[in-house]
Amino acid sequence: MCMADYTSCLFADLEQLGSASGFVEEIHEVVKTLALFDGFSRQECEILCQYMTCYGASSRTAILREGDRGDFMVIVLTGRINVMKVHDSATSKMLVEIGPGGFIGEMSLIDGQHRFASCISSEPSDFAVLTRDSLNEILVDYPRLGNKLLLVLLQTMASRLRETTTRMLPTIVGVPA
Amino acid sequence: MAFFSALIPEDLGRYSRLVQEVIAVRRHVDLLRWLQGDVQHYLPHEIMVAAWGDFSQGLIHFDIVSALPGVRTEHVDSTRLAPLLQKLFVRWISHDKTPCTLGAGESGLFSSDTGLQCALGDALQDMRSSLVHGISDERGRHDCLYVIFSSRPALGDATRSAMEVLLPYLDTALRQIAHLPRQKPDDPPPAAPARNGEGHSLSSREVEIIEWVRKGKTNYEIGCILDISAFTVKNHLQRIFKKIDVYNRMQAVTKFESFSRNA
Repeated sequence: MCMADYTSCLFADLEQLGSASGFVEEIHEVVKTLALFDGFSRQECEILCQYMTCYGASSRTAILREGDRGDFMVIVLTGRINVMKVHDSATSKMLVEIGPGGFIGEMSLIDGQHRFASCISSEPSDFAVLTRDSLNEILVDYPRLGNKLLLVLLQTMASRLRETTTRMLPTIVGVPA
Repeated sequence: MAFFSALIPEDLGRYSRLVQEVIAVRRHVDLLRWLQGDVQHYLPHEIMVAAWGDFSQGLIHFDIVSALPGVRTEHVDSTRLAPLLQKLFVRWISHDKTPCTLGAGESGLFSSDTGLQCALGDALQDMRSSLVHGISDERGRHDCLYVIFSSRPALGDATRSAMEVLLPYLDTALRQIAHLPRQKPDDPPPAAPARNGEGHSLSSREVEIIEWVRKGKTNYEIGCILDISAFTVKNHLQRIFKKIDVYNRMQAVTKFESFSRNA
């Protein structure tokens, strides 16, 4: 099953926007602001878009569900996505809000484990999907670009880990942040 | 080297032509013509499979060059062929990275249970011998493997020697050709858009959007009404413009109204 068919099944209820190759300008606008690695050039964006598919979601739509298995990540293009964690059996707690240019689901993309949290749109949102198979294809076809993408993912995850640790330290070990 | 010492004056001319032709290869069809031309004198074969990538990780891409009907890269399921190529690569490594010939039944590719349910799988059952050689990329981990399949009962020393000499040219030629379209063995051919009773091929969502455009709503307003983003509305409109062959909103509304009048 090719990538577009796989994710089309997952997002059957959402607006099918087609290959990300049709949105290179928009995607380049959001990713070029990633300053740490000088962003991605338009040409690099064009290449990456060949490996992604885009979808549109209404507000209050679950893009990812906590506990589901998954091997793809989502790049937010427009709108806002809330990352929610089940707090007790009745409620969920919002952990963070992700806007255009942000990633969600990258941990499962890397380790294939269950989704850590649910991601729900708080307003109409559009996003691009990158699967693990597509990431592997990029690493073979365009190794340097694939490594650049991996570094950006690593940066995002390191930043989140640092932030979480800083917040948790006073509670867990009594060490001030 | 045995290849050069065996060349007679006529062969020198042929070899010189080979080199000149391969230098000019720029497209897949050029490579096919080259392999089906004088190369057959040195490397008799019906099918050539070029594979590249990181074989240790199983991240393998391949390209099939053959004049046999239906034996094409895009018809092959990569999940079936890649593991077989990985085994051949390991075999080649264990052969000290020198050209190795395999008879029917040795490579695992000639049998009917390869799972290659396509023209390639059928064609391979008629092949009787194969030759494997490659390049182990010590710097970039972008290894390459070249496998030729022949209906001849055996490929001898002369063919092995020729492969050693011609491989660099073959590899260079392949690197200069643009990638074939991404391998999607199950892609159906694009269907012509079906026209509904009103004479257009717009989906119900697209009709909904064009109705709001007709009422003078902006993309943002349409997005608010339908609870989708303006980006999605714009995407739908671009598809509408293509389907009904117009360039802007006014033309789209005018054409849509004519469909409605003619229905």
